[in-house]
Amino acid sequence: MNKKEFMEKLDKALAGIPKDEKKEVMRDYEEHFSIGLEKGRTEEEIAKSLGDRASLAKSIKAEYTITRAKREPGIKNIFRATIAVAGLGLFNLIFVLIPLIIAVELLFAAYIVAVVFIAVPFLILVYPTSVTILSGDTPTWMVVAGFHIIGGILLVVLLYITKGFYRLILAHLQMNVKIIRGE
Amino acid sequence: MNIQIKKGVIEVCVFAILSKKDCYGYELAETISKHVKISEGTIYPLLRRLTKEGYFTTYLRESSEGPPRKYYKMSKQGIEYKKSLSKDWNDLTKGVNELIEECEKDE
Repeated sequence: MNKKEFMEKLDKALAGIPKDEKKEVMRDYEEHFSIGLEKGRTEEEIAKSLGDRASLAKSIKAEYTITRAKREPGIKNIFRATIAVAGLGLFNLIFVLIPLIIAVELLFAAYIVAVVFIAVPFLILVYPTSVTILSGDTPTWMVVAGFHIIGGILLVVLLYITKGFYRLILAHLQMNVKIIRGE
Repeated sequence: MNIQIKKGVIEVCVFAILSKKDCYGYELAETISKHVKISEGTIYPLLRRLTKEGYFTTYLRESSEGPPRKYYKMSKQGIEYKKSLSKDWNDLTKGVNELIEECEKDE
């Protein structure tokens, strides 16, 4: 592989990262080639010593998406970062994507519980016969209000957990990139 | 060499070299290659990350031949980090060497 081929393949593999960032990365390799040539090496030798450009591109992309997710937090960016890191290997797919999916599912289930609890009074109003509350000696309205309040508290707690969870995922992703960096 | 080990080693090497003088990417790759077998391309993502994290700053300097070269210079934060990294590395290699020696003695 000569310089032109290497640069073209790297350029293609870096699709998706912004122009400025890409230009910087390409510049670095351009510089590497020109110094190597000055020192009397051939383009083929230099390309070979640089290593596999597909895995280079993957790690450059993963680093970039994580930096962006840190700077501009959002579900979309986090998700992109997760996919980019997962793309670095099966090991990472198991250690990054699967914990994320399980955690998101658990959170989702907890949100449903909270919403249903909050909705208990309304459910009873709309479908008085279909909802049975086993309240024993406690007045029904108290149990219903209890559900409503507990649901509200649960929702607030969940919002805090979601925030913390978001930070945790970011830290987890960064740790993963540290482990696999340079690949 | 195991790829995970190598990645950590390259980082240690980069900090060691840059604590002595400012270097451009090619120079770093060349110096490390003399001692450790590496894929030279991996040095650039590493340098980008460490620069973004504030350990290095960069500047361009014209060369007598060819395009200007991007030099990497260690920041204050980088110097501090280098100290702890070198210590970690020395502790690690000392410990592992001791262990290997002990095991070989037992044979």
